[in-house]
Order: sequence, then C-alpha cells, then structure tokens
Amino acid sequence: MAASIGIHVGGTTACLALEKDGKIDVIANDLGDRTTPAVVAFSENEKVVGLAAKQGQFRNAANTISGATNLLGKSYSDLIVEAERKESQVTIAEQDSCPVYQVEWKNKEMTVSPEEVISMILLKLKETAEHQGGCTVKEVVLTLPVDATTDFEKSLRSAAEEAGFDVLRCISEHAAGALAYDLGQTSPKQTSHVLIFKLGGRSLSVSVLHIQGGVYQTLATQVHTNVNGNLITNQLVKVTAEDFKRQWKADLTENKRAVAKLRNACENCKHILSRLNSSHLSVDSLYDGIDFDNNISRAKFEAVANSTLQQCAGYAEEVVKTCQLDPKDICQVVLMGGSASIPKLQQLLKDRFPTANILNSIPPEEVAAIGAAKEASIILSCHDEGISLNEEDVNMPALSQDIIVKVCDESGTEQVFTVIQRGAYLPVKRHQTFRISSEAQSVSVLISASSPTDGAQPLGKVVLRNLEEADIENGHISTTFHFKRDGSLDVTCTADGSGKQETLMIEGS
Amino acid sequence: MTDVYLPPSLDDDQTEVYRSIPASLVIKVEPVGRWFEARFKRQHHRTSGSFRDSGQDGGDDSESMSEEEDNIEDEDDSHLQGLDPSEWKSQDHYAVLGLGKLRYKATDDEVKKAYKRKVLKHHPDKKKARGEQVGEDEHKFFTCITRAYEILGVVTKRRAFDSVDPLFNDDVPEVDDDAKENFYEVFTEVFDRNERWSRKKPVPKLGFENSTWDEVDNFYEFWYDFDSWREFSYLDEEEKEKGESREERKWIEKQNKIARQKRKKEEVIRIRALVDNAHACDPRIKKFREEEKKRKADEKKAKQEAIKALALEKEREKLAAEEAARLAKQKEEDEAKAKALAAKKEKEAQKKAKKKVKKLLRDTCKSHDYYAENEEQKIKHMQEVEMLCEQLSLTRLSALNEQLQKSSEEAAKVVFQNEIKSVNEEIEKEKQEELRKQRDAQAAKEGGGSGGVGGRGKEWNDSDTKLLIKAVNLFPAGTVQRYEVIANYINSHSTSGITRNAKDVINKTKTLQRLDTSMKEEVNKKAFDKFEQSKHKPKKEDVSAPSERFANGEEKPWTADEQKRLEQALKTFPAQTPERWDKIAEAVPNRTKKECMKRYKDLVTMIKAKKAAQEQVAKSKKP
Repeated sequence: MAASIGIHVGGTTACLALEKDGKIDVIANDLGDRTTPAVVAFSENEKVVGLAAKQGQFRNAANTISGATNLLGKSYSDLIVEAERKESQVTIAEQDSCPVYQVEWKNKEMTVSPEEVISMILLKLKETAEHQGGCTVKEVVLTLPVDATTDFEKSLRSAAEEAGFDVLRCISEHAAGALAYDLGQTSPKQTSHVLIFKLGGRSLSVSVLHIQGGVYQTLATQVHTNVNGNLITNQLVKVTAEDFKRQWKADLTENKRAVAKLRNACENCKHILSRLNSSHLSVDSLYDGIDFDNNISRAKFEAVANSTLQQCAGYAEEVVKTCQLDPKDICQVVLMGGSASIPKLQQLLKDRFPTANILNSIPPEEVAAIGAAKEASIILSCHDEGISLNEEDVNMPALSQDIIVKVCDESGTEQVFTVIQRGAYLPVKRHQTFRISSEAQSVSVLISASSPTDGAQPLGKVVLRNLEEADIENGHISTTFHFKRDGSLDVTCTADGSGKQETLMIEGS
Repeated sequence: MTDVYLPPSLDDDQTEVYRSIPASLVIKVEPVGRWFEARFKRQHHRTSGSFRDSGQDGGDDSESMSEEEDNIEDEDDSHLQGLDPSEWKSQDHYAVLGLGKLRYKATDDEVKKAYKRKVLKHHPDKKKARGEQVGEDEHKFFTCITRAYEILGVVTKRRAFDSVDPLFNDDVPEVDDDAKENFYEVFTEVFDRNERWSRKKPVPKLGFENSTWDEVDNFYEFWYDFDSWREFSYLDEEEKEKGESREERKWIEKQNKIARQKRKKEEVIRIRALVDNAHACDPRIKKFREEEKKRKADEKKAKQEAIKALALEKEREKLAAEEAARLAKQKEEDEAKAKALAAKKEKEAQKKAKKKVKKLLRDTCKSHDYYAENEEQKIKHMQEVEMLCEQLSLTRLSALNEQLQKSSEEAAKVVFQNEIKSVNEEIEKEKQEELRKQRDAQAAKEGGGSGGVGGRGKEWNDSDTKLLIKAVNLFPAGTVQRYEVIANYINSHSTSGITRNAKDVINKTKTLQRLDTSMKEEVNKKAFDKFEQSKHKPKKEDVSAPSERFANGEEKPWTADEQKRLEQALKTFPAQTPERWDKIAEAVPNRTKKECMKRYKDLVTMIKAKKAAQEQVAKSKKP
C-alpha cells in the first residue's frame, strides 16, 4: 500500500509527515531531526539543503537562500519582495517580472527561482521519506500559508511536481492544524469555534475556525509579520551580545559573522528553553578568537521575549473579537509553528482563553504536516479516481435560518424545538421522533424558519388525522426532514402504528 | 426519543405550505476533513450520474447506491433456492450472486457488492429479523452464496472458475463454404469471445475487408502466439486437501497436474484450430497472397527486362569501342608509316649530302695534296681526313669545305690543322669523360658497399675505431653472433654516445680491412703515439717520484710470459688460500702483490664485460 504524505514548507523549516497503515508519523531527516531547515546553499561545488546549509550560512551568506516561500508566486514589484530584497543577503534580481535569486555556483553566476528552491527542499524531503518509509511516495498534500494567493498555490504545485510528487490538494495551514487534532471529525453533530494560533519563524497568523458537521469554516484570519520567531531570536541575540560586551569589552555586533554564529546558538538555546529551565549557550571563537560561554535561564528568556509574546497573545484576542465572539466561545486553541512551543506563550494564551483547551500534544512545528498527511490519507481513501477541486466545491450551501417545530411539553405549554440549526450544510436529513399524547386524535407539525433578527416565520404544517389505536399505543410519530441541495424541504410524518403517512414539500426560494 | 409532544391539530388544519424557505447561504469552507470529503464525493457522483433521483440524496446517512448497481439484476432467484451446497462445483456462482449477465466482466468491486447485497437479503439472521420463515433451504442457499463469494472473491479462484465457465462457447467454426462466404460474421464473434483468455491486452481485432496487410498480419501473429491464462484447476477431480498423508496428497497433485496439462493442451489445440480455420477462410489472406504473387511476378518481369536491356546496351557499347580502337590504330599505323618514310627519305638525303661533302673534302684535300709537306705527313693527313669524315657532322663538314675552298693554300692548311686538332681534343675529352664516369661508378659502388659510415652520421672517431679493433681481436672469428657482440661491446664502452648495430660494425671492419693500409697505419701510429705518450710520462715521473700511488695508474704492460705465470699462480692458489696474493706475487717475478691484484681485477672486469655483451645479444635474439 502506498503511503500518503503531507508536507509543510514554511519560511524557516519544512516538515514531512507520512501516513502508512493508519499510522501517522513525522519522518526524521538524515540528521534525525524531525524538521528540516528550509534553507538551500550553493557552495563551491554542490547544492546543500537543510541543516548543513543553515549552519554554513555565516560562511556563505551570499549563496544561502532561506525563506523562499516569501517570494513564491509574487511579482517583482510586490512590497514583500522589496522588503525581502533589502533584508536578504542573497542578491534578488528581476526576471520576467518575477524575483529570482542570484547565486554563485561552481564559479559561475546563476539564477535560481524561488520555485526551484522549494523544489530542491521538497526533493530532499522526498528522498528522506522514501528512505525511511521504505516505499515510494508520490501523493502529497501540501499546506499553504493562510494568506496564500492562487499564484502561490500554482507555483508550489509546480515545484512539487518538479520534485516528483503528485499533488492531491493544497490546504490551508490552519485547516491542517485543526485536522491534525481531529477536531470535529469524530462527532460531526457538534459545532464549535477553534482558535488556530501559528507563530512561525517569519510571521504570526491567527484565525478562528467554525466547525460544524465536521466541516471547517474560517471566520477570520489575521497575519502579522511584525512579530515572529526570528524576532524573539534576535532579541535574545541582542541581550547575549550585550553580555559578551560586558564580559569581554568587545562589541561583536559589527561583525556579521559573529552575529550569525551567535544567532545560530541563540536559536538552539531558544528551542532548548521551550523544554528545559535553563540552557547553556557556548560558541567557540565567537569574536576575536574569544570562546563565549553563557547560561541562560528560562526566566531570563521570558523577560526578553515577554513584550513580543504579550503582543502575540493580544493579536489572538483581537481576532476573536473581530468575529463577534467572546473568548469563552473558543473551545480549543491549536498551537502551530515552532515558536508556539514557548511555555510562556502557552501560559499567556491560557490566561486569555480560560475555558479553552490548549492543544499542544503534537509538537507545534509538526502539526501542519501531520494534518496534511491526514488529509492525504482521507483523500486517497475516498477517491479512487483523480479529483480536482473546483471553486464551487468549497462553497457549500447552508441553511440561513433555524428550522423549528412547535411542540408542547408534558404540561401542555408550547415550546419551540429546533430540528435543524442555522448554518447546517445542505443537503441534510434529520430523523426526529415526537411523542403523541394518549388522547390525541390528530396532530399537527408546524414548521417554521427562525432567525435571531426576524423571529419565527411559519413555513408549513403537516397534519395527521384519524390516528388509530395502534398509533396511540405506539405513542410516537417519526418525522423526517430532508433539506435538499436546491433549498427545498421535504417533510414526512409517519404514524408508526398504523403506517399512516403524510408528506409536505416546501419549495426553496 | 424525545420528551416533546406534538400539539393536537385544530379542526380546520390541513397539511399545507405557507411560504417558501428563505434562500440558503453559501459558506466558503476549508477543503479538509472526512466530512467535507464525503460531501464532496457525493456531489461529484451526483454530477456524473445525473440520472439518479435526487430524492435519494441522503443527508448524513451513507450513500452507497450508484449507477453500477443497475448491472445487478434483481431477478427472482427462487429457482436458485434449491441448490445444494455440496454440489458447488457444478453450480454457476455468478448466477448465485446475481451476476449472471455480467459474469467475467464484473469487477471485483461489483462482486463484492453483489455478495453483500445477497448476504443482507439471505442471511438467516436478517431474514429472521424481518420476520420471514427460515427453512433448511435458506441455510443451504446462504451456504451457496458464501461459497460463490469464496470463489469469485479470490482472484486465482475466480480465474479458475472463469476458465471453465459453463456458459462459455468453446466452438470453433469449421472451414466450409459458409464460413468462407460469411467470414467476418462467423469469425468476429468467435474471436471476440476468445480474446478474454488473453494474458496480453489489448487483443487485436479481426478487422474488416479493407484492413491493411499489417493489421491482418499482426492479428494472425498475435493469435498464433496466443498466451492464454485459461487453466483448469477448477476441474480437478480430487482436492489436494482431502489427501490424508503427504504421499497421497502428492499423488493427487500429480494426477491433477496431468489432467490440467491435458486440458491445457486441448485448449491450445483448440485456439490453434480456430486460428488455422480463420486463416484458411480469410478472404483477405487470399487477396493478399494474390496481390503478392502478382507483385512478385511483376517484379520478376521487370527485373528480367532490365537485365535484357542492360545486356543489349553493353553489346552496343562494346562494338562501338572496338570500332573506335580499330580506327585509331589504323590512323596511328598510317602516321608511323608516313613518318618512317619521311625519316628514311631525309636520312638518305642526308647520307647523300654527307657523301657529297665527304667526297668534296677528300677531293679538296687531295687537290691540295693533303696540305702535307712530306709523304709521311701526307699519309697521316690522309688518315686524319678520313677520321674527319667519320667524326664531323654534315654541317661542320660543309663549313670546313667552304673554309678550305675559300681560303688560300696556307690558310687552308692552318684551318685544316686546327680542325684536326680540335677534333682530336674533342675525342680526348670524350674519352676522359668516359673514364671519369667509369671511375665515378666504381666509387659509387664502393661507397654503397661501405654503407652508412658517413651517410648515417655514425662517424667513427679514433677511440671507437680503436675500440672496434680491440673488440674484433677480443672476439675472434667463430664467436657466436660475433658482430652483434662486438657492436654491443662498443656501445657499452664507447664515449661517443653513438649506438651502432652489427651491420655498421661489419661495414667498418670490412673498410678497415680493405682500406689502404695507410689508415690502419695511421691508427696504429696514433695508438703508438698515445702509447708512447702514456709510456713516457710515467717513466719520467717514476724517475722523479717513484711512488706506488702513481704507479697504480699507469703500470708497465704485462708480457705474455708474466701473464702466463699469473694465470698459473691463480690456478695453483685457489681463493681460500691464506695469504693468497702474496704467494701469487712471489710466483710472478718482477711484479708486486698490488700489480697482480690489479691485473686480476682488470681481467675479471674484461671477462665480465665480454660475457655481459654476449648475454645481452643472446637475450635480444630470443626474447
């Protein structure tokens, strides 16, 4: 059986999860890391992908490409490209109005498109997966950033195809996150609101999902690039650089290489501090031949990153507010992105969403890939033949108003019973059994549509007359509400005892 | 069940519709998750299988009904009810599952679905739940259903059953007029029927009247090579599992195998017969054959004609060439004849003229008394006149005549004598020329003989020549491959850096032997001078400073007697003798111990060199 895989390529790291025989696991790369830095370096005579490239970054900065996803599917004139061009150490040039990297490889100038960079990363992941999984991997589900454009998706697809994959579908990271925790998948009856909080290396994205009938609807999404994991690392670098200055009376911030070295160490340190209370930071020959050795406690780190983390949590709250929801309405918070594993951040979120369940059982940086792998397995099990998703497929018709039935309780006081809730996706079919009182000769089922703004509006009525002894004995009437795709409603009432049946069809407008 | 009661209806209540339902919303959802996928699939199916009643669109219940179920006939299976599961081998399992129409075309999925349907319908528990009576027959039939699925649900078993499908028509049409006339009607159906056994897909079709030769050829090639998966394990008489012991099972297996092989063989023969018959009846084959025959005949004819034309052409060419040659020859002959004639004429004319001139000269001479003063001179002059007549050309003779006649007596005499003198000189010159030529030829001959001594730049300098003489003496005539050895010796001892081969050496030796003794003498003299020089110097130094060290360098030469004594001493005192060299020195008078040792060493090196040179040659001769 072929395995299905999900791949998440982010701004800083890429991760591959493989679903095989019902088990989903993240594939560790050749170095045993479960995530691979999304960095490609062009060294003198080879192309290096992953950690090796990242570690060589301070040596070969001009030929080491990272964050290619930022440029994917963007035109050269894009503001983001402009910003990236200023920041990146690699020359970014224009080619056919698309941004391309200019690198030196084998002593020759060459241009590499972001697509090719992504393709190389994907190929690397594929090789590892085939090696580890012991089977050919082809079908893949890719994740998209929440703010991805169609051009981005197209480029990503072609990059994946270039790497030898069969792209089943591209799904949003946040949806993948929710799917990774199987939210709403087991009990489709429930409806709930979920906050997806992804703090990646390059940006923070937060969104609120509405889950109904096992289907996810994104209510609001916000992307903030001013807070991100790299920022936290940079803050840590700044603090440690000051420590260094104090200790050795030498300023290393002018030396790019030293900063890069320190940055690598600080990043590791940050990862460790998410798990342990203190971390050792040591860099050999950091600056001027001085070996730097320092101990950073989690408290210190939290003090450094506090403002940023507070900001992140603030954004999360803001998104919920834009959906006109109360923080109490959020049932679950899904943590995604490497920086989301910072305990302090989790604590802050817990404080803001006290009723919510913070989901962090899966390492946050792997959540997206696992969700994608899950989706891949679902797609493969559902569709034998090729499928292509259309625009209309993701636009599902849903009920605009509650469908209610007028009933009485035992005492005879009238009540309203909601049969189908607003927002239910069509078509939908509900069976409902109502009791009938012993003395009743006939019953009526009054069906109304109700919305919070307009109030109840009666739609129709089904009347069952001349009920027989057997019906009374049986004591209940079963009704079927079938809302069809075209918006019409079929109501069938059956008196089980005598088999008497009455149907009503209400046209949709 | 809920605890809500429906309100009783009022008297005037009716089932009615008040208004239509408000428009539904459209919500953009994330395309992920099981539920989305389920809906998506349903929608997908709905659009493809549009014939389906939309009323069947279930909400959240599973929908498995789809178009392929139309293939499963809901026929009355009452006639199957009486089947006995113990006779499963003879039963039609497709019919049992309700796939009687589809048979081998049913996909695995369809088989599975049909089975599930039948199970739902016929399972005793289900029937009981529905309140139907469950008799013994029901149980039996259900067993038949499970048995059918056991066979059709497994690929190998299904193949085995398909192979012996009772509804399959094994008939092969005979070769007769009917088959020939209605070839396509008869055979297309049969081939279509049989193609299902093919392991290779797709199977080429029989085709039509106007199929190309390639198509037809391909078709027959395929069918003659037909690779069938049909196998007959289903008809095995006994089941292997029934065997009680290993040997018995083995025996059963063997029997089955034989039976299967036999049937397989029959099958192969059947297919072969079918193809043979088709081939025999195929009007296209006949057509193609005729066409081929015609084509070949045409080709042959064309070829023959071409050959004929070619031969004719050749004949004509040959004749033309012969004619031309003949004409040319004739012309040539004519020309030659004319030329010869002209030449002869001219020659005769010249001869006549010469005769005339000669006569004139003689006459002139005679008239002038041969310009002689006395009788003796006269005779000499007469002889010389004759010689002049012989030697001088016509023009010169006539010129001489003219001069003689024109000038006076005295002048004529001078002219005559001058003429004679010049003629004599010419003759002399010619003679000398002749002589010189002869000598040159001789010299060239000799030069060739002495080879590339000078030509190849292998000049022999003094030391080499000396070395050569020494080597020649060292290796006397009779040594094996003497000159190779000598050449080697010279090469290894020469300081000139020129490598010489045996041929060079032979040439040089021969020249040396043949050459005037002057060279030899010169060489010897030089050698002697050198010797003298070397001889004198030490003598002088001996006188001034009689030191052993200097004596070492240039010792006095060994005489034959001393040499003999030394050799004898060496033999008498073998290597192990204590104080050997003292004793040897004693045995050789006039010689010190050191001198003896030196001589011995020299001898040894000389012998060694000699041996080495010989060995090297031997080695190079037979590698």
